[in-house]
Formats: sequence, structure tokens, C-alpha cells
Amino acid sequence: MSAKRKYFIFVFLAPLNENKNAQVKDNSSGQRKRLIDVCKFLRIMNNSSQKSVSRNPVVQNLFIITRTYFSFITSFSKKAEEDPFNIFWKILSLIVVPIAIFLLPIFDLILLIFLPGLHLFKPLFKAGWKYGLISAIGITLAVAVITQYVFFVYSYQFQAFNLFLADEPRTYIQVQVESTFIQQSFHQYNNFDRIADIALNYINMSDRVLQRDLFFKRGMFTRTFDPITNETILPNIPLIGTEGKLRTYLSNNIAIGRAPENPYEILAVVSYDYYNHSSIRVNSSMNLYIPISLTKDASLHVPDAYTTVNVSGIVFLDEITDYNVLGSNVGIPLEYILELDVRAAAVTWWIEGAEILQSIVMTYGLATINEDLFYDVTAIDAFHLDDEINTIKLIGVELKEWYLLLGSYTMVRINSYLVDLLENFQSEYNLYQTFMYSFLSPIIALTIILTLYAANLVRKKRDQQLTILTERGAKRSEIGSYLALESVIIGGISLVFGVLVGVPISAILTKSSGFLTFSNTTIPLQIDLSSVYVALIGSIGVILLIQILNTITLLKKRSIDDYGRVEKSLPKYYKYFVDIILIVFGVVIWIIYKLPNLTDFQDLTAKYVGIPATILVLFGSILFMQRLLPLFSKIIVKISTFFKADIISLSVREISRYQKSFVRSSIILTLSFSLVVSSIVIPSTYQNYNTEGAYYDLGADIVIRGFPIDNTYLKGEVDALPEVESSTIVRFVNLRDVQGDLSITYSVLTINATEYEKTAFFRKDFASKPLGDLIAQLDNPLKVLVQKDELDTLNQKIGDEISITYRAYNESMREIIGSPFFYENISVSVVDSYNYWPVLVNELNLGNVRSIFYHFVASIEFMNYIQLAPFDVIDYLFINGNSSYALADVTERVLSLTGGTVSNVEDEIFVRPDSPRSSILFSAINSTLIMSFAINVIILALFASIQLIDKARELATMKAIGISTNQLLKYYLAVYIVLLLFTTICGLVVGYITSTMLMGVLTINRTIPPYSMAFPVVQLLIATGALLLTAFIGATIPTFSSSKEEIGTELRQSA
Amino acid sequence: MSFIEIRDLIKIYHPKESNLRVPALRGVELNIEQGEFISIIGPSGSGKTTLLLLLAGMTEPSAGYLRVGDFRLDQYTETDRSIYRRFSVGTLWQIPNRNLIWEISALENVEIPLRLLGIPREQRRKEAKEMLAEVGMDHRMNHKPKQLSGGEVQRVGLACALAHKPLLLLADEPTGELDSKTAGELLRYFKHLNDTRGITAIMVTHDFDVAKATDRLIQIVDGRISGYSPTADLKTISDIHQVYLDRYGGLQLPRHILEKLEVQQKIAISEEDGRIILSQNGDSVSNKKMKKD
Repeated sequence: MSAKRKYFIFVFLAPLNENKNAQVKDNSSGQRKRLIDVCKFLRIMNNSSQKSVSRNPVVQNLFIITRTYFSFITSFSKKAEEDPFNIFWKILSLIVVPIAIFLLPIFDLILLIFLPGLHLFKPLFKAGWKYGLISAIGITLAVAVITQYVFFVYSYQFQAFNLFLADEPRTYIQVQVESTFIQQSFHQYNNFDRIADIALNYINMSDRVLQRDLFFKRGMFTRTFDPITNETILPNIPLIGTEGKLRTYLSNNIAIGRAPENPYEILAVVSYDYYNHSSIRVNSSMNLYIPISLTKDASLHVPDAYTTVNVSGIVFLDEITDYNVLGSNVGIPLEYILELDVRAAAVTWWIEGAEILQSIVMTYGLATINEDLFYDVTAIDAFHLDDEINTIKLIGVELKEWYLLLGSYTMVRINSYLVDLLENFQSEYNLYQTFMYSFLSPIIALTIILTLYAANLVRKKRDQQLTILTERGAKRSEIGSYLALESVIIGGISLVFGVLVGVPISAILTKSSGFLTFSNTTIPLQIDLSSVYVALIGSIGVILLIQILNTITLLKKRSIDDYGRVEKSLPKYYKYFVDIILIVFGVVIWIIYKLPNLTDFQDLTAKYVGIPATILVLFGSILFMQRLLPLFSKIIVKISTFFKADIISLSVREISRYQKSFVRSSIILTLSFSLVVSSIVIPSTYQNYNTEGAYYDLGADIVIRGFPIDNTYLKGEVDALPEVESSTIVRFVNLRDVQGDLSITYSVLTINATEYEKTAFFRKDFASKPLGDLIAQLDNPLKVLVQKDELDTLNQKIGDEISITYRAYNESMREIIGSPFFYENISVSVVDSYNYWPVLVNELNLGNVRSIFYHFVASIEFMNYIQLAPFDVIDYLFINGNSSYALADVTERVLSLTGGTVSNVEDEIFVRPDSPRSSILFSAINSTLIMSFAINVIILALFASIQLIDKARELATMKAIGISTNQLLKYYLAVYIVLLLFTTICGLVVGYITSTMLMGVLTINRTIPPYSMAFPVVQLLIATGALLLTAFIGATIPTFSSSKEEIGTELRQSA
Repeated sequence: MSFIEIRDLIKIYHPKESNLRVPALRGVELNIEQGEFISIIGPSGSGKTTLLLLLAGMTEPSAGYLRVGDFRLDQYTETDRSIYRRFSVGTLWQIPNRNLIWEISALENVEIPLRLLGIPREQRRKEAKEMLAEVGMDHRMNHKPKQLSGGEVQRVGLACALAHKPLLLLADEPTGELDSKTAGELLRYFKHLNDTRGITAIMVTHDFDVAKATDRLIQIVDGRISGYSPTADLKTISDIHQVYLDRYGGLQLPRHILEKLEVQQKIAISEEDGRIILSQNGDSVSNKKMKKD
């Protein structure tokens, strides 16, 4: 201890101690205690009445509160057991229990540390609750935001996977052994199945596979007569042999006839459409051919090797119910299990099927054995998808090894759509979650800033109260104790209300199906204990952060002189160029994000590089734009002075005077406005992008893949439909050349120029010329259009001839050279180039030296100049629907006529309305829009009210000198509207920049076709208009009420 | 030994926004006896309020010796000073907002200093009511400050300042916002409490009439004590009308003269034979008076 300190104690205690040289304990807390004792003594001496020391029941109360909570929790558990479906108790427990667990210790701790502050609670809380309430609004919003997001994300995670399953029914693992000799005995069947069983048992996964089904399959052709088109056709159908549950299922679903009873009897499993277009009937006979070099034209040479089977019964695919997996409510359509692409099959039993196969000489009894292992999808833990994926992969690996070990099957292939499904779900979910967090983080930041801002607005009033207390002798620890207690109460109330507000909002969010549209078809809200804990921990974290910051702000005053001091200085970030630093960092990170080398880690870079860069640029540019506020206000002042609007000019001058305060308001308004703009611009852009992406992938409104192009009658029928505007045949082929390690692929899309222009999708920016002019140049079969960048890598230019070598196919060459394959050359002439071409160019792979792709567009006659196997060519019919009909109706009509694989563009849209994808995407957007809007309105209302309080004296003085209400309104509103105008402009600019960057994150998985940012003027005008109107009303009401207030009262209150 | 002893007291402010150092007190020397009623008078910026803040233990002296009773305020930490304030000082400020918390009733306001002392509820309430009765405000104890008149607010403020029975009462222009009648009433309360309780009271004022109500007047100019005058002497020199001239040449004229002569916003000033003559609209005040007569 210093000598000075000792001296102080000595002097201080001198009159109280008879012995002036009494020893003083060298202990500062001891000194303070004695100081208090002396003060008390002096007071007692001064006041003859004896006063007892106050009792402090806090500790006692704490025990009571804690005990009550515990007894409540215990009683709840009993009630929950009695009535597990009692939602009220469930929600209550989910709120009360965590509060008891998380808040009480904090509460206790604060009180124990700052015990003395409790006696100030009553008057101070009475005096300050209104200001606390303003903080509570902000905190409630923050909690509501967190709650809604957490509950939504959990609900989504739990249930969206099931919705994904609905989109992809092939939820099984398939073991496929190609070209296996099928024996006419059950031995092979049982042995094959037993190996799967052993493999599953070995890795203890038997319980995860509910059922196994085995069948063999071999492709066949059958000659049949199509009574509708009046021609003999040769469709391709598989021959399937099976046993067990599949056999029973098929037998139970026979619509006409009976089950096969002897060899050479089959069940025809067909769709109505196939049935109508064929001569397959009960008791009819079918000739089965081996597909060697057949085209679909029956007039071609057909090999001799065939056998005849009789149709004993017919199963209609359109009638049968889904194939139900044992022990699960999952139903899978039969055509998926048997992989019936053509929606037809000749099905018989195992031994009979084997006999048929062997009787067809050229099959040598060979077929593919398929075993489907139906995985228990209900046991998949959506929160540990990585583990689930690994489990399924492990099953695949083990199956492969055991089939090799026990059956010597070397050609085992494991197909698992389930793994693809899980991986797709996971990556897509990650992307959307990233997207969601990219909106969530600014919204949370916004709510925190709002709360701090609100607290700062009322700080002047709080400072006054605290100054009075300090002057009366309250210690900082006592004030700190009170503030902490107030924080706990406000935090607790906000927590409860935030959760109560957040839960219904998240329930609405789960129904988000589009921009501000909600439907009942998406994800039901699921409140789970773990999600409640996460929401509460997050909320309490935010509450603590906000309240600690608030308390520190109020407590950091070192002396009474500091209280109530108005901060007129410039914002600190001006001095340190924080805004510039944020922008520079953001831009640099964005450039890194866009580096082509990072494309292999797209999801990761989106999350950890793209989003942070966007947020840095967002905050940096918002701060930067505030530097322009004084300039903006000066311009307004000059304009208003020019037009002699003196009141406006006087009012707006305040912006320069109180720059820090206005900048603070401007920052938060700009941020919330930017988010409103982003949440309007992004969905519009993304929706357009998705629709155009679907068109780009498909090529036209409706596309029929594998269309019989020679069937001119059928095309004529399609064209004649009133629902169809036009149609065109498009043929696609890949010409391949392998030169050592180098593989060159020339993808050629051949079109009919006239029809294509009328029918296909083509955007103006896909080429430098209009489509018509571009394809009109294809007047010679060997003229081609080439992708622009690829043309450069070919070192060619327009007008050059390109010589293509490709692996050709001609069956007639088999007799000459022993193989139908040979290399052929063809020269094409490049007449023009394009940037993007639907269907044809999905990615540009210019950097890969081992595998090079070139994309040509040529006239349809180009096909006559190349020699390829028919199955190497993909034929499409592009259809342009009549816009007066719904596309779904057009598709249905076309499908009824043509059958086959008919796709329409609406089904191809990646984020379709009412899909899980749209739900998670739009819930983030809708939530951001709603919350930003709410925050914006709250800020404006707060700003208006506080401005009024701050200006009360000024307004009263003005009223005293005779200003009219109208002028008063003008004076008051001018600065407010100027601030709004500024933040609106900033919000539009920053929001647009942010939207562009977020779109860059959202579309990272796909860069073609390029998208352009939408600018939905009407929506933005509505949002801006609504905000301005709210602001105007919010500012006008208090001004009017102020104009009614008595001047004297107003002056005295504002003193 | 004097109740308050001040030796070479210096207070320098350091505004945060600049590197300037603003000296408010430049070596004040002062002794005040227990039970005295003192007024401090001086022009704006002379250091009156700073002196008051130092005596109230609300700010730390930069240098010097400052003792109030047994409290060595020059050596206390903020926590020590808060204990000193809690037990020993009552303050009353010119602005009503600084005396009372606007959102709670008069009674609750008076209870605050007693709460800080940890006095039990019943006793606290009883004492607060007694204090309000003493300043004549017991009939309005449940009213909030905004429902009271200016004089009533200051009386409640006085009740707050005295509720915990301090040894020292400090008032910074407590009548500044009041009309002369209400100000007179408040001063009578001051005097009454000073007489009956023996509290040492120090009041900062600009107004000579207010200062006259006190026992002794201390003049302070540019951070130094420039003179001591027993207010009894003031009565004898009242016709001379001493006025203060601040460093910028600003004068503060006595209100009663201004009212008597109906001096408006502008006043003419001239110099004749080393004398400064003030006149209204070019006429000398004396001339006008003569004309009137």
C-alpha cells in the first residue's frame, strides 16, 4: 500500500479512534468497510434515531426459485408420461426447462456478484421499463429470427429427405452381374441370394435391409402389329425371370388371363399405351428375337435365332399398386424395380425363363442377374448423412467382395441410387443452408445493431437516471447489478416472446413455396427437443451479447461529467478506413472465389469463401456510402435554399451537425433496405435463371426423347394437335476419336432450320446473330456452327474446313474387316459461331488436355454423311406448345398420342414451386424480406419517436414563437425524408451488389446459361412505397400529438 | 478546525475530443464553518459549479487539498466518493430533470437516497413522507414530477437532497428556473432547514438578491476566489451595484435595476472621464430617470 493511502486512512479514522496512532489493516476492502462504518456512525450521530441494516432475502429467494423450477420440471415429466401428446405441456416444458437451465445460473451469478443492486430495482425498473421495452422489441426480433431459422432448418432436415425420396423412388441397392449363364434350377437363385445374406450379416447390416428380390433380365425384340399406326413394329422388351415375393406380387396383379404354368408361357407386363400399340393379347404368341444389329425398322434383316412364347396373362402397369417393401411403408413402382424403360416386359419364372433363354441359340443362356436390396430408408438419420452414405457404400463394397469370394462373380456392379440421392440431397441441402445462413447472418447482425441502436437512442434518458443515482451515492457495482438484473428480465421476456413469435413464423416459413407465397404441400413443422435447445442456446447467446454490450455502454462512464454528453464526433470507422478495408478484403476474397482452380471444391468455396466475401462487401459498402451522407444533405440544403424552402433547409442542416447520430441511423436503415432489395431481386433472378436453365436443358417446351423419326404419320398427328404450335425433329450424335491418351468428341446437333427457329428455345445473347440468320447459313449438310471458344482452341476461324476423324459403325463391314467399327473422315466447313446452344453445350471443357469436346450444329441432312449404329443417335421431337393451353395439358395430350419419354419444361425446373427445394430457398428469402421490413418499420418508428423527444425543446420553442402545425410538420419531416431518401438509394445500390454476389454463390454449381440480374421494378416500388408510407405515418402521428402538447409542459420535460 | 477546508485546489478538464487542457479552478483557498449558509457568486465559466462538484465528491481534484468534515476528498477513489455522497451530501441542481427521476412519483424519488442507505421499507417510507411534509409537498407525494409546477419540483428535489440527513447541502442555482415568488419560497425553506438542522449549505448563484439570503458571499472569478463578503455588508453597499465583468467584457446587470428602468434588449454604452455610462436608446439611464421624474 502507498504512503498516500495510509495517510488517508489515518486522517480519516483519526476522530473516531481515541488512539490516533491505531494500527490500520493493510487491506483495501477493510478500509472501505470502515469507511462505510464511519459514514454510518456520522449519520447516526447526526440522526438520533437508530436504523436497522436492511435484510437481503436474495439468496433465500434464489433457492426458492430454483426449487420451484425443479419441482415444475419433475411434475412436468410425470404429466408428459401420462399424456405424451399434450402439446401445451410440451411447448411449455421446452421453454421453461431451458430457461431454468441456462438463465438461472446466469441470474444467480450476476446477483451474487452484484448483490447490492437489488434495492434499487423497484424505482429504477419503474422508471426505465419503457426504455427496456425498446430493447426488448429488438431482442424479441433477434430471438424470433433465430428460432424460426433453427426450427425451420431442423424441420427441413428431418423431413425434407422423405420428400426427396418421393421424387426418387429407387431407394434400394442393386447388385448386378452381367452376362451370367442362367441355370434351370433354384440352386443358382438361392446361392446368389445367400451370398448377399452372408455379406450383410458379416457387416451386421441385416437389419438395415428389409427385403431382397432377385430377377434376371435379358433384352429381346418382338415383332408385333400396331393397330393404331397400322404397321408392323419391332419394339424392344426385356425378358425377365423371377421367383419369390416378386412372383407372388405379379401373380396377384394379373388383370387378364392367368399366371404362366409351363415353359414358354409368359406374363405380359405392359402399360395401357403399349398394349394399345401392339398385338399382345392373352393367348397370343410372341416371337422373341436377339438384338444383334437391329434397327427399329422391321423391314431390315432379322436374325433367325428366335423362339415363340405364349401370353398367359397381362399385368397393366397403370393399374397395379406400388410394390411394398416388407416392414416399411415405402412403395416402389414395379417399373423402377424391373427398370422397364419402355414400360413393357415379358415376365416368367426363374426356371422357365432360363429354358427360354437357352432355347434362343444366340443368347447362350446369358442374362443379367439383378438383386435389389431394399434399404430401410426410415432408419436414415438425416443429421448424419455422411455416416449413412458410408454405410451404404460399405454394404456395396462387401457385397462385391463376397460375390467374388463365394460365387467368383467378377462382373459385379453395385448400383445405388440411394447413395446418389443422399449425396445430391446433402450437397443441395448444404448449398441452400449456406444460402440461408448468408441471409441469416446479416439479419441477426441487423437485429443486434437494431437493439444496440435502440438502446443508444434512449441512452440519454437512461444516463439522466443513472446520473441522479450516482449523485445520490450509488456505486457502479450497484448500477451494474441493477442493469444486469434488468437485462435478465428483459432477456427472459424477450426469449419467451421471441420463441412465441418465431415458432408460428417458422411454421409459415415451412410452407414457403415461392416469393411471398405459401402453400400446404411442403414441410410440416417439427419441433424437436434438440432444435429447441439449439434455438435457445443461440437466442440466449445473442441476448447475452446484446445485453452485455448495452450494460457496458451504460457503465463505461468514468465520472459524472461524462453522463449525458452528446457525441458530436465523426464515426470512428471514418478515421481507420474500416469501410475501405472491408471492401478491399471482400473483393479480394471474391476474386479468389472466382478462380477457376477452385471449381473442384464448389460447395466448400461457396460456404467459406463466397458468402464471407459477400458479407464483407455488404457491410463495407454500406459503411462507405455513409461518407456521402453529408454531401447528400448539403446538396439538399442547397436545393431547398435555392427554392427558398427555408424550413426544409434548416431541418436538413442537422444531418451535418449531428453526423454520427445520423450515420448510425443511416447504416441500419441502409442495411435493412439492402436486405429488402436483395430478397426481392434474388428470387426474381433465380426464378428466371431456373426457368431458362430448364429450357436450356430441354431445348423446347416439350421434348420427346427417342421419337421414331421415320414415323412421319405420328409427327403429323402431333403437329395437327390444337395444343401444339409447332414441332421439329432434332438428332444428336457424338463422333468420337481416340488418339493415344487423347480423346476427342465432336457432339453434333442436327436440326431442321425452318422448324427449329419456330420451335426451339434460343436466347438472343446465345449468339451474336439472331437464330434465324445463324441457322439459315446451314444450307449445305456439311456446313456447321461451332462454339466460339472451342473454335479458338481449334485454331480455326469462320470459313475454315475442319477434318473430323471418328469411329464409324457399319454392320456390313463385319464381313469385310471382321468388325463393324472403323475410322472414317469427314470434312465440315465452319460457317459461323455461337456462344451457347441449348441441349448441346452444358459445359465448356477447354482446359482438359486428355479429353476435348467440340460442339457443332449442323443441318439434319448431316446424318446422311456419317456412318453410325442407330443406337448411337438420339432422336428428339421438340414441341412448341400453344400458349393458350397449360403446358401440363399439352404434355398429357402429346403423351397420349406418342407414348414414350415425354418431358416438359415445367417438370425440369430445378426449383419448382411446392417442392422442398423451393421451400428452403424461399423460406430464407421470405423470412429475410418480412424481418427486414419489420425491422425497417421499427427503426423508422423508433427514430421518429426519439427524434421527437430529442427535439421536444426545439419544437416547443418553435411553437412558442408561433410556428404553424403545418410548418412544424415540414420541419420535423424534412430531415426524416432526406434520410429515408438517402438510405433508399444506398439500399438499392448495395442490395443490388449483394444480390449479384449472392446469385454468384447460388449458381456456383452451374455457369451455363449465363443469367442476367432481374430488376423487378414493380415489386421494388411497392416495397419502397410501403416503407415510405409507413415511415411517413410513423413520423406524422407523433408530430401531431406533439403539436397538441402544451408548450410549457414540453419545455419543462425536455429540460 | 473548519468544517470545510480547501487549500490550493486545482481542477483541469481534459476534453476527450481535443488535446486541450481547460483549467476550471486555479488554486482555490477556502474555509467554511459547520452550519454556515454560503453563496458562491461569479460569472459564467468562473468555476463555481466545478467547485460545487468537487465539494459534492462528484469529480476528482487535479491537485490541492480538499477536506469536508473528516473526508479527505482529494485522496478518495470513485467508490469512496460514492460512499461519501451517499451518507454526507445532498445536492440540488437548477435543472429539475437532474434532481428527480421523471418517471416515478415524488415519494419514490425521495425514497431513493434512503434505499441506498439500506433503510427498511416502512421506516424509509415514513422518513420520506416526513421530509416531503417538511418542504410542504406531502399533499402531492404520489404525483410524478411532470404533474408538478416548477417550484414544487424543486421542493421535491430539496426533499431528495435532504432525505438522508446529510451534513452538507450543495445547490447550483436552485432558483434559476423559478419566478421570484417561488424562488423566495424555496430560499425560505433553505434558510429554515439551515437554521433548524444546522446543515452546512452552499449555493451557487448569479443573483445578488438570492445571495443576500445567505450568511456569506464568496466571489469567484477565473477559477480563483476573488473576495469574501458577509452578506450583511452587501446590504450596505447595495446601491453601488457591483457587477462582474468577465474576461470577454461581458456584464451582468442586476435584475431589479433592469426591471425598474424597463431596459429592453439593447443598451448604449459610452465612456466619459473614466466612467462607463449605460443608457437606453442613446439616452443615459440617469437622464431617462430624470425625465421620468
